[in-house]
Amino acid sequence: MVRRIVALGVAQVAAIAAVAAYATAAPLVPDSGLEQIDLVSLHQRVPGVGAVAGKPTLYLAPGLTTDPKCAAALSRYLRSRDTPTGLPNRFGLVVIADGTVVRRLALPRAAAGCHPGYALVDGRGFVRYRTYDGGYPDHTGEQAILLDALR
Amino acid sequence: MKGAPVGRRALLAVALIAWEAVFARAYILRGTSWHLLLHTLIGVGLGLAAAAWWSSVRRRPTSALQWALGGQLLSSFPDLLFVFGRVPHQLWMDAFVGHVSVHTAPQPLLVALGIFLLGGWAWERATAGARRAGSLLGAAAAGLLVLALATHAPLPTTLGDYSSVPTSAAFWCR
Repeated sequence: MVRRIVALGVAQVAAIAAVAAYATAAPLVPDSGLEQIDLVSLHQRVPGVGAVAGKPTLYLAPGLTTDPKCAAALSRYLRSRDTPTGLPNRFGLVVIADGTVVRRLALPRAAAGCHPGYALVDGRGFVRYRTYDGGYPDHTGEQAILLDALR
Repeated sequence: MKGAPVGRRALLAVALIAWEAVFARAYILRGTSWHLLLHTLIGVGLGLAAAAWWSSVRRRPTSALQWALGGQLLSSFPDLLFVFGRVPHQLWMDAFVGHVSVHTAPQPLLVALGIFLLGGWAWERATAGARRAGSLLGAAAAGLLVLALATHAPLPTTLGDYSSVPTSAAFWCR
């Protein structure tokens, strides 16, 4: 019984520590729980946003490119396009330069330059999904799965 | 695992650690540690609560391992479907212990931690023979999830819905 209680106690302290460690590095509820939820729940037209050549398209809000970290991430993302680790060319890609469009896509923190995000548009030009994702250059697999669902 | 030869137990422990490492890596590589914590804590907690209930029904102790793992797999199944089946999340996936809607519950990570703690003590009490206490704690773990799902914020259907929910801008922009 003592061993069982000790094992349970260790597991529970580890769980509490994991949650505490996470909370010191990131918001306890990132973007109200919606960050990278991978649920296509939108169907909306947005002025200035459309499909590129009728293909499902990713609209990237990379944050302020005057920030060296944001610029390096964007450069790495664009260089990897259609390589085995990059976003395939069967999808459109638009890097949004206009802060107004970024805000229309409900990504105000990206417009403020602090946190990148993206929106996904289906082949008919409807916005279907939007999320913040600070690690977007490394998450092209996730983006491709969602974009494939919009074909 | 109780009563198994030492070699078999060691092998099981190594297999379990390897599985958990692979499982966690899949989430961390996608930048989704938050989702890993959320679904693991809920799944394992509910698995242990179910073990407590099963132990009470059978009137003898139940090993926690298969129930905890089963709960973890059940709770994370839509994510496995996303990675291996290339299926985006859909609302019907709430069948997997509220997999989708729990994201927008009030303080979901704290709810998940509560479920984990209650489920663990439910299993411990039931295994110690305190079946009533075990069942009550297990019911509390399940009840916490039900309450969270009953009070979750609606999932966005328009871009305007995003601005109506509070964001953590202060954290990211500090």
